[in-house]
Amino acid sequence: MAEAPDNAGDLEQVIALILKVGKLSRLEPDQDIYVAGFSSTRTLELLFEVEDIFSVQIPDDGRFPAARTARDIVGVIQGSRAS
Amino acid sequence: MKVVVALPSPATEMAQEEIPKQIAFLSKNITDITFEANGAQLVFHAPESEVESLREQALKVASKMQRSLRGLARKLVFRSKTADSPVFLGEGLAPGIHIMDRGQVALEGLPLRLYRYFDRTLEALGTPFSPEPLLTPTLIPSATLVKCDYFRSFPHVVSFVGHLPEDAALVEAFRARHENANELDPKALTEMAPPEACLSPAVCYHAYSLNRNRDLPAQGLRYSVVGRCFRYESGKMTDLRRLWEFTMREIVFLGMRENVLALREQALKLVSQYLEVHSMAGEIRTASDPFFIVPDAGAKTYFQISSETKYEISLMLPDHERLAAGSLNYHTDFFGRAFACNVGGLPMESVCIAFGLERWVYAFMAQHGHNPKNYPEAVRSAPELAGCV
Repeated sequence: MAEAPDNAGDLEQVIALILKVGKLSRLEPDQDIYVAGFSSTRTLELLFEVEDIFSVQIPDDGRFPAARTARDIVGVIQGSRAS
Repeated sequence: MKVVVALPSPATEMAQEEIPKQIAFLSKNITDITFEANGAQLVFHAPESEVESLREQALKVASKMQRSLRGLARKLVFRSKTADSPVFLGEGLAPGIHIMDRGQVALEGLPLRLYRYFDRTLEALGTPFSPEPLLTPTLIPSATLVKCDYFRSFPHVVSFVGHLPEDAALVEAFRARHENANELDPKALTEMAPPEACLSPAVCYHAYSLNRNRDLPAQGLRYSVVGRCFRYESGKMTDLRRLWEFTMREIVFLGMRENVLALREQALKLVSQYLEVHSMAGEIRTASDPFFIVPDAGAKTYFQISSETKYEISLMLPDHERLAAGSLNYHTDFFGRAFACNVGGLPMESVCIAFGLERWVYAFMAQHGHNPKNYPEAVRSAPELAGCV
């Protein structure tokens, strides 16, 4: 399924952030980031980076740590923009 | 001397519970950690000589923890019927509880009967899961604790096991120095071999280590484990609430994520019923472990609480005190990765339901007192209480 341009841009940025924070070499949009080697102790750092880069306030409702793929995280970001 | 630390912003309820866990590690001389001015001030007592240094360190630690905890709120997953108006008929140090030394107790009489009662009935709590009974050693290889990340997360509570090396001259010198000595020679420590083993801080680690380098069956594995555990908690080791040596009973689930999480939900219901049957005033709520002050302690706390990996069984004590008498923990795939244990082609995920038996005795006696005639029916009619009701 084709991505909307905004989504595609967000997805690329989120993947780049996950790779940087998690010190990973590659990641697919629907790949489980924790299975790919992302440490749960870096979740908070990733959250801070996402908030800074996307200028959003992610609610502390458990959805961010429950997001296991880059695409899931994009969904959380978009949900934050909408709320 | 009273130390007042002005915080950058008022600490939330969650921060007011989590920050003291970290501040306590700054110095063994810190006491009476509280918050004033609606959470805007962190207050504690410390010797005058340490005040300036501790004030600076405390501000740094508290600020970092506040930032990490963000707006997180503790989630309540169960609250017992008696929690709204708890009654306390007893006190902590009941007859039959003997403090042998710091964090070490001997039990006899009623406290021992209750200890045995809780051991049996908490084991029975796991029966619906048909777990495999597992007797584990008291010792645990240091290498196993390394895999469990224990030396990075909880270095302050580890009890190392030392022994003299296989060196006849050195052993003879040790023996000779103790010919007429009444205490352990302080030089002994420098002669010890590097500790290849420690005293187990939790019994479930053995279950993960036991399955290292294995592919588990699709339905996973379940264990019922009990053993003595050891956590050195410095000045906090005063009575049954916090012991250096204590007994942990656990139900451990290894398997796929959906499987172990569903089992935790079932266990949650059973533990909730157990609290009601025993008329215990308490709650089950999200919580975090007391990680040592490390760069990522705040991040670990955030992850544990926000992703609800730890549910704590929090029993009520007098003066609004709480006692964590157990927990239901989801470890994600941490131990599967650490021990190269897979299921269905993925790293094994795990859950442990853990109970600290001595804490159950303490909280039960604090709430129901020392007269068995006042105990709930389930306890009064138990074989362990026979002859004393």
